Amino acid sequence: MSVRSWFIALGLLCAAGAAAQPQQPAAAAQPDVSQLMAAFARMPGLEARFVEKKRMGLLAQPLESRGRLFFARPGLLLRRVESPSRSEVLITPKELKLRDANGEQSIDLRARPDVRPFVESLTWLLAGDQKALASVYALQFERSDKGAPWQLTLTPRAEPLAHLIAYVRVVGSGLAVTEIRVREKGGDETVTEIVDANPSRKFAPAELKSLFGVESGKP
Amino acid sequence: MRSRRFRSYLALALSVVVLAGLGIYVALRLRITTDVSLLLPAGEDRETLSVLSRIADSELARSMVLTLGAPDLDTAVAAGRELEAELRREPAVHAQLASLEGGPSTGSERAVYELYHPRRLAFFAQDEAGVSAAASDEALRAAARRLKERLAQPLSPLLSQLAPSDPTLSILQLFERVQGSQGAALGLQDGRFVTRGEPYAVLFLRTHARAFDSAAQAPFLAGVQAAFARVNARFEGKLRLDQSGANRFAVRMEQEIDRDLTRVSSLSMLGLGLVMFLLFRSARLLLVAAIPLGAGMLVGLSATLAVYGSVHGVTLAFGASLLGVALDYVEHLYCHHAVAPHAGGPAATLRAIAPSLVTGALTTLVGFVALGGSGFRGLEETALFSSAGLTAALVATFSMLPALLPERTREVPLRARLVSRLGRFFDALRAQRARLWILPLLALGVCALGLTRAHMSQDFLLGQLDPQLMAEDQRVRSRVARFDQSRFVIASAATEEQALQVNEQVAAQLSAAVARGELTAFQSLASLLPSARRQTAVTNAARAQLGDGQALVRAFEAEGFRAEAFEPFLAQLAAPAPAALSYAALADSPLGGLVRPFRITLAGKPAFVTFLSGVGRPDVLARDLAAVSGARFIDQQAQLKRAYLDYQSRTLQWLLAGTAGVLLLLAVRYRDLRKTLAAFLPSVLGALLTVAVLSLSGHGIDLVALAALLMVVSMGVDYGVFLVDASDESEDEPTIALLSVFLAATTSVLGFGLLALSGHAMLRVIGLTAWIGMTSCALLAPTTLVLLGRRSRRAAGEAT
Repeated sequence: MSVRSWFIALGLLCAAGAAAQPQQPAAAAQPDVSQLMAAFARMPGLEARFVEKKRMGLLAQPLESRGRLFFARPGLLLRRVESPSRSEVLITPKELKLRDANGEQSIDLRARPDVRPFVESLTWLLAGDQKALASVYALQFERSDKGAPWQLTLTPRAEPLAHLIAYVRVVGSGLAVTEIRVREKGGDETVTEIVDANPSRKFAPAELKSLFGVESGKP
Repeated sequence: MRSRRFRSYLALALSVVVLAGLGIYVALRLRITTDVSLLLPAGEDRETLSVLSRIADSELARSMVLTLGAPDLDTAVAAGRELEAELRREPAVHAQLASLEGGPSTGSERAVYELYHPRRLAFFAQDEAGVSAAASDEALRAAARRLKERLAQPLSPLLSQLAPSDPTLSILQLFERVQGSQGAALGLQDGRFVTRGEPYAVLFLRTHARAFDSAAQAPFLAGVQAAFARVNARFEGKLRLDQSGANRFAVRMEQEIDRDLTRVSSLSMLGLGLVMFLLFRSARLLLVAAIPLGAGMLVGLSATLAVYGSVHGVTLAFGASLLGVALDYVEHLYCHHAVAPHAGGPAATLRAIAPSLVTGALTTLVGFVALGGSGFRGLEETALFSSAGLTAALVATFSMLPALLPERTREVPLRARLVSRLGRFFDALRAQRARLWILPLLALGVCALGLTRAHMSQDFLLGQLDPQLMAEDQRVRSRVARFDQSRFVIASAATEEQALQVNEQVAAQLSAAVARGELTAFQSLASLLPSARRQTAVTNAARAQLGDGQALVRAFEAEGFRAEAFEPFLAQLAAPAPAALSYAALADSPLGGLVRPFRITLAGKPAFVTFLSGVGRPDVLARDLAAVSGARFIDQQAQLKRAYLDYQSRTLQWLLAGTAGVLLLLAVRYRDLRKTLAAFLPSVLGALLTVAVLSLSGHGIDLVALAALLMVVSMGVDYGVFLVDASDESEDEPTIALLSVFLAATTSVLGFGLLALSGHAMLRVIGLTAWIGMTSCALLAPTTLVLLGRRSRRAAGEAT
């Protein structure tokens, strides 16, 4: 069962990557990885729209889904899919909840030592914790002169993640993330495009309750 | 004279040879057990109770659960990890450790994949009947839609790897079903079992030794405590260990019995020795008095070991108390030999009082035999032990004592004064004969008052289980299990495959019961491990329904999947089926911890247990399951209680029958109504008085109290017999018999009084009941003799 959970974590990692769209500085600024992480660390919260496309060997046509992402400190993330069918993934430091038309499924992250590091790697990314992130992934930061000026490639260092994921590539311009690309070992690929991001989003107590199911920012 | 002495020595020598032989036999065969299940009733539903007894012997009873509490969950997890390591290092624990799990085995996921994925066709549906529904075009299209929905979710990378070879996700759904049915009694943190809500780490242990093998379990439990103490010291004493396990009750019981036996026997011996030494001033007499008792113990033990193979600790304690009556016969002999010795020596004295001794012994034996007639295993053993022992003690009194006693005993002023005072006391009773009726009337009044409040105890465990251990056991169980601990279903058969087939039928019945609302949930191995027959049947049915798999491919294609993606599944359809999944394969894999609690061995036969939750109608469930051959619904508490009540009523009948037997024996012996009643009434009135006093003090009458009452009647009647026989010989001076009764009552009251202070509940009830009863008998015997006897010449003269 934990194999399934790895993928939940990986999916969330993709979603979280999409959420990581910090304040937009001048387009000319070309940060290095440390500056990128420092910018993530300053982000109070986030709301963004996303478009996700999955190209899979199983399916004749790519699967496309659209929705919103919400992130609040210290580690609350909601990935709400609005089309083609409604579903939600909520992650808190304690648990992971999946909700769709078939019902709700909850996974106690404290009970999943195999899953937890992957889920925490999302928190590390959003918190700008480069050291922790580097403990799970090999980080490769590249600048490009074409279109997207930089890309951060995360390559899993060890099994079981390395058996399934070839790499996760975060693409951005300046200090803004514009795309997350997850390449699986089997060749399937998920590309998440981030649009309309508000990296200064702050959540009122009522919103925290309704979106994340918590009374305050502390779950 | 010389030939008489020769015969005495010959009898002594023969007795010594026989006893030496028995001594060797006992030394070689002696095995003392404290198995609580032997003291549980075995009434009409013997088969069910035999299953219960076997369960007490099975892996279920050998399991222990430890919960380790800490200030927070992280500390609990760390401490749990250290405790597991310490337990494995502790030699006393390691030697007995069959399994120890503080968290799920590593590699469980891989084991699931390796064991189930190659056999996924066998799990295509829950049974062969479900295959055609699952393989219909409609069902396949629905499965394709489900898969597509799940692929859109974040867990898609897993599914995209599994789906080509298992498009309907049979194995994933199987484990989701199992997880759903198991509920969430336990959580996991950092790979360790923890309780939900409270900071406790949980460890599961199983021992090689039986739970009731105290010799093995005592050092094991001490080792657990030692390991915990080391870990707790490292965590600055902030940890709390709670344990659950049948072995703890067994060890505690043995410790209590050991402690009680040592105290009761040593203090009784001391008191008895002191009283006898004060009255006879002879170490020789003191030592000789122990011989009939020793002979009785040896023969009692030999008989019990020969019939049952072991002797229970309670039998030893209860039986030894019963054998104490043999001392009454020795004391009776000593009193006669000391106060009014026969010219022919001790052998002649013994012959003179032989009728009293034999009558006393026979009435006592009637009671002991009646104990055995109750059919209760614990009492049967006690009856055998004490009947054989008492017979041997009486024979030893006749065969060994004459040769060992001196021709004359020393004059002891204290004894002379006591005889004189007892004589005056008896005269005073006679003088106050008219007023003496007050005593029995008072006793009858107390009886009437007490008997209205008398009630039978419903405690089928006879208070044997230590309340503190019970509370701790409950705490642990409530933390880790949501399934009922005393209600479950056993599926057993001659072979493992047959037992699995029975287990499947049980699961089907229980599913129907859940659907009808008669049961909340059940936990069975049937889903994870169907029988080989069912696995083959489902595989064959799936192959037959799916054919070359093109129908499935078309259904998935229609929902947007690529046809060529499912080549691995089509290849599986064409490949030969692997061997069916077996229990052994599962048990030997990292999933072993998940499946082992379901498998037990009952009387050498394999059996599978299904745990139940929320049994609404036990009677209906039992009726439904009765239709499944090889299945048995176990409702431990209800079945034990039913059998216990059945037992209690049978023991009451035997108490009445035993009492009637004693009366008949006395009537045959005396052929005189007054004498018969004078010997008989004190014991019956004493027994009734005991019930009344116990009831007035709030005690219910349980099985053990009934047995002890039978003992009161059969042993208490001896006092009456001694006095009646003595007054028959010398009507005005039954003072020697009074001295015997005084001595016997003193030692009995001391022994039973000490037993009444026992820590072990069963021994305490025996002691308390017998103490009240024997004291009453000793007080009522001379009173009744005076009231029912003819007026003495001296009293008549004084009145004139």
